[in-house]
Amino acid sequence: MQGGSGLSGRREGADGRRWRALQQALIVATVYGLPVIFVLVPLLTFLVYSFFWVEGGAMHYSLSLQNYLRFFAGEAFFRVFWQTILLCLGVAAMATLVAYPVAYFLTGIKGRMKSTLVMLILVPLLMSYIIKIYALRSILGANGLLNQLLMGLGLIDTPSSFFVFNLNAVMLTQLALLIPFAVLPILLSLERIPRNLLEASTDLGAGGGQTFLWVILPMSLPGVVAAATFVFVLAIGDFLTPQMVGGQAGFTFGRIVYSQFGIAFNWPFGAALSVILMGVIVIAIVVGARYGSSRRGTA
Amino acid sequence: MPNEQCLLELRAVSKTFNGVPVLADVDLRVGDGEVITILGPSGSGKSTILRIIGGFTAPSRGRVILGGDDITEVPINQRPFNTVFQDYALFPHMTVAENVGYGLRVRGAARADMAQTVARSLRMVQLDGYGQRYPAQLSGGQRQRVALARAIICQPRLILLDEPLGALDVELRKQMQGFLKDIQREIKTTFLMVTHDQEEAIAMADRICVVSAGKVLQIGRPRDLYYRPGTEFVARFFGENNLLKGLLGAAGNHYRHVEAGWGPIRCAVDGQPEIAGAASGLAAYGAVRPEEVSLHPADARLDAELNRMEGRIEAVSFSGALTSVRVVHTGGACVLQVRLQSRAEGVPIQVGQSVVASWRAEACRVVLA
Repeated sequence: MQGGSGLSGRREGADGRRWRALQQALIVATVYGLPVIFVLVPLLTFLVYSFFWVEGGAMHYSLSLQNYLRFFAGEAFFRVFWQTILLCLGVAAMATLVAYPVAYFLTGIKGRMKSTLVMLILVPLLMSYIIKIYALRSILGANGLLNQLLMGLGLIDTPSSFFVFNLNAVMLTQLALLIPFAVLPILLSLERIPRNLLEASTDLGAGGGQTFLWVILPMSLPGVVAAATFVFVLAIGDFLTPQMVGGQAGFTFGRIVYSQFGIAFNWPFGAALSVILMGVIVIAIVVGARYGSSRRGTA
Repeated sequence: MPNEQCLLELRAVSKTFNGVPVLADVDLRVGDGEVITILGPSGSGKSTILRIIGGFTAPSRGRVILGGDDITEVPINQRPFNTVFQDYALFPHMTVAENVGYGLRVRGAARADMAQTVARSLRMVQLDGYGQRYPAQLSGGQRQRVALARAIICQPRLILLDEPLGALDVELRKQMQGFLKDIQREIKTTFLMVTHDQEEAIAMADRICVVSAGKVLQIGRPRDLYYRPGTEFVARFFGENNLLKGLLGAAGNHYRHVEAGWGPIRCAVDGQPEIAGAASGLAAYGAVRPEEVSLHPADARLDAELNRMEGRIEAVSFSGALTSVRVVHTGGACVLQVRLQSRAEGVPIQVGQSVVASWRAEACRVVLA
């Protein structure tokens, strides 16, 4: 048996080595090649496109900075851009605030009950985005659940339009859609806190509140930052939600980009706006990574 | 513990996890200021004893008494105990100084007092100037000392140490044993330490409590456990031991015999009334430590009081200060391990030589099988 394999090994020596090298090359090419073709090349195409320009409905394939100048000079674009950033920061902050207690509650539960609850949070992620937006729109609308509830409680007399076709609607909808993305990182970071650190804190005389404030909260901050980053990035790239619940008043940067491609047919300008949006996202991720990873490492 | 005042007492403490018994009727008295080691193999329930004392686990039955007060129901953060955890459980997001000062911060100590006390504690564990580092930047031994400083800073009545040296390498462990002992002498706080390492237990403890399968087998000074093991488990647990099988003979005044097939073994029974009064005919061992046996030429004339076994040297192995010799009884009925002081010119015996092994009855104890 041993001799046999040795013989065949020797016979196939050179061929085998060549075959293995080929395999290696194929794997490397796949691992690096697919992202290059499907991510990097389109992004670079976009970047190049953003320096082209359109005039009188005709594309000009010469490089120019005029798209970027138009963005920074035109006050309207910049205002929407800034407003959208604030909106998404707000969504990220609120989603994190809501998600933290949920995640904290989940860490305290064990066994089947916990997996069921986590599943319940995950299920909406598997559902179609558009269906969820429609569902939320019907809740927020003039005759929606929210208005009915507020009227039933006697807080308002007539249906309020506060919750639909404006930025409030965009914010509430995005909040509802993105909370699951905030719960998971926080849940993970809470669960990663070793139990014996909590025991050590109690052992040293700390009460529940002190242990939370001085041990649990600071140790779960990486998860909080990751959650906020996730939600911010997903919210700022979203043009569908504002399109469907934002109405005239709920204009966001994502919709401007969309309109450059879909309505104005000014692809180079749309590409330039996308590059700017991309810049914001990259900054958000870099900032998130810096503050999300503990500087001290883990013992 | 005889001379000291009792600080902590466990009364018939039992614990079952999901119906599986982990501890059965553990009684333990811890004296004020002593170092007591709970020693046992992994899974023996020794850590559970520590966790019950610390308040991390509630006993299923039994009481925990501190200075006369029942503290069984007192929550962890109100017990005047502090713990050095097995993997130190230092807070990774806090500096060494913040870790050490945590107990003071919890009690709302003033900032200036805190800094001073922390500095003093760090000096005590020889970590001067390490206050601003983070645990991840320390070596294992240094982390161990931070954990110790953090536990002693609030001057607890009792310090619980859960395998405190388990994660360190042999060299460092020896060093830390001495260090822990010095600190304990300095602050005079009671140490209750859990370990599975008998050498560590012997080196550290005033008294050792041997636990196996959830039961306390024996509590006593290291010497007593070593030379007067109460059970076969204890006899085998501490270092090498010769357990010579036989039947318990008739009761004598200060001695009893274990009748082995090849001859009687005379054993001292002072301080062991349960052995002195045991029924004759029981299966028992005569237990003698290898270093208590001496070897003589086959024709040597020996004191009649001594235990003796005629045999042949089967193996000699040199291991530094000591040389181990294996003697097999002439009839092959018994094997005796002997440890002799090594000499530069060599131990004057050879494999195959006929010898008489002898040992004093005082160095030989009965262990019931």
